[in-house]
Amino acid sequence: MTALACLLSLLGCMALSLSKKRHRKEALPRYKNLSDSKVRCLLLSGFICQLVFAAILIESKGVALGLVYGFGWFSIAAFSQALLLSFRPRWTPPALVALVIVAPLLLPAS
Amino acid sequence: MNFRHSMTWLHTWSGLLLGWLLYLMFVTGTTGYFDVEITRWMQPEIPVQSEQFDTNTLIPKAEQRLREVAPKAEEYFIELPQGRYPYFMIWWHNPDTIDEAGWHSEILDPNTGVPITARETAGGEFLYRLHYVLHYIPKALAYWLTSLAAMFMLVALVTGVVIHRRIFKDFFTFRRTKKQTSWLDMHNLFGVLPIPFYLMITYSGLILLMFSTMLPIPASTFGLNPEKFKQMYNTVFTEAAHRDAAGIAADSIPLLDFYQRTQTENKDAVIVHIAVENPGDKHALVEIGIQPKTGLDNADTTRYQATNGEAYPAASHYSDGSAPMAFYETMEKLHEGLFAGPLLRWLYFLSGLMGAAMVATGTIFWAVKRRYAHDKAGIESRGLRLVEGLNVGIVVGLPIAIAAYFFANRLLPAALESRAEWEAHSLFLVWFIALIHPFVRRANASLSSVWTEQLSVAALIYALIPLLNMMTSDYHLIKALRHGDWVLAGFDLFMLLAAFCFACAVYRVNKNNKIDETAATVNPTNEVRV
Repeated sequence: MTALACLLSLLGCMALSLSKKRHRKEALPRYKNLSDSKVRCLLLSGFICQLVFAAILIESKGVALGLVYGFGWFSIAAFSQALLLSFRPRWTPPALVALVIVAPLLLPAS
Repeated sequence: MNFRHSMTWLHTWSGLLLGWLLYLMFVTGTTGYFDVEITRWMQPEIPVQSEQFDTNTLIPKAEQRLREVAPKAEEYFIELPQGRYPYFMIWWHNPDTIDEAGWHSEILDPNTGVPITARETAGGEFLYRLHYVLHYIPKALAYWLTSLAAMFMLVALVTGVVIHRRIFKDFFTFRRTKKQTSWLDMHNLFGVLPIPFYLMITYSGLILLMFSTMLPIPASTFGLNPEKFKQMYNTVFTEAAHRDAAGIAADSIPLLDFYQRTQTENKDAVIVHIAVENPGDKHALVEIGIQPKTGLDNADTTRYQATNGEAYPAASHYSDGSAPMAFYETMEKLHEGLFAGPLLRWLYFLSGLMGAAMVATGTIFWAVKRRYAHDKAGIESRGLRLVEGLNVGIVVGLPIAIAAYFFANRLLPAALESRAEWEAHSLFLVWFIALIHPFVRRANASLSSVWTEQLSVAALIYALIPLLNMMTSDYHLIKALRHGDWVLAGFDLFMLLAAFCFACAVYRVNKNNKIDETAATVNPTNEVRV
């Protein structure tokens, strides 16, 4: 369950970063000009992923430990995404697709 | 000066003035999350647990040993090896009325139960304590200094949020090729992403030292009389309601029976310690410590009467029924992270390292920004040179000094008197050299050469630590990996990783130098990078 939650947080960070034009220009140059509704969709899915991530951790580890895990992991996930965007921005879309594929596979395991 | 400007001023100077002390606190405090592992590496005499821990044989052996060495103890306990904690140890507390009063301990072989004599070392505990007790200065002064640094850190955090205009827009931004902006981006990344951790660690750190720094509050009730203060401490922090000894000798049930009973009643229980209060007395109590599965506690306990095995009410805790004490205890647990399993421990560790990186990038950014302005205006400032030199000597010098501490642990003679103290002296001696090196070298070398030299030394010294381990102990990296001993292997692997990071930094500084030199040939007014 923790692995799935961590993965969702990474996924959320990717979606949140891609909602910014500056990062889209680097990671997805063809889609740098998205409509407002699509940007909002990315933003919303990013926040939903983070909420589900927090909910899973709180559910499985309790409020106290869940929050500690949540804040700790979110920092690392966001930092990893910042490094990815800085060093290999083009890898963000394939990484996002890979995470979307892997996430459901983790469901039966958890 | 508008509000944002005054906040920027406050952020800059509060960060710079105590930044280096905060860096020391972050680096050494972060090592504290792996203090047990560090101590384990620093005592290579302790044998590795080769098979499953044989409780049926080893618990009676430990109990027997306690009866031999601690016949007059008023309390003793056995620590069992589990997870990251590899020690099989016995501890006993003698009453004040006998010569060997106080706490004593012995390490036992986890395979045979025979006592082991390990080298004297300050261990990981020294690095951990360094972050709030410092060294060579009175404890009370250290508490004040570290509390002051924590207070400044809190100010820097709040003002940092205020002055960061694009905190959400730049949330994932790191422009690594933009010279000054790269340092600012790095500082922002390290500063913003783990901000919940920083707020927690700073605030809880202040709370932990509140009896030193917020003295007027208890003094208003108890006065400034040291005796009354001691009384207040005892009232507030008495761990458990002790059961007084009856003064009548009585046989106790073997400790193994209590261990097995707990395991039968709770099959998943991971028992971490077995303690006995008033051993050999009619009122003897046995306490079994179990690792909790959730929450911030590091051990749940159950108690039994040692003579007849009947359950005894659990010890009352000092925070029971007191909201302020419960809050204090929560802060303490969050700060120390003793409850954390492997994943969470690494998250604590990485967040701590990010804290150190935030402080380091902040002080470097301060110097880089001013160097650019000064070079442009043709000014040479002593203050700036001082900050630049201190940045090198502290940001890279401290890790070099810590590596020297590990070297001293292995190279100092085992029989040396005050050996643990000499390990600490070695750290400070090497750090002192690292601190003066930039000032000596700046006379005939560029700042980037000074950075390169210290970073190269750091890369080399960290790369040599696994080799040193191989030469001075029977248990080297390859052997540890073969045995799946991740405590020892993890230490050496982390040293190699640190060496790799320092080597990358050397490469990066050299590469930037070449770019700058080329740019300077084309355009002599171009900005110089660190």
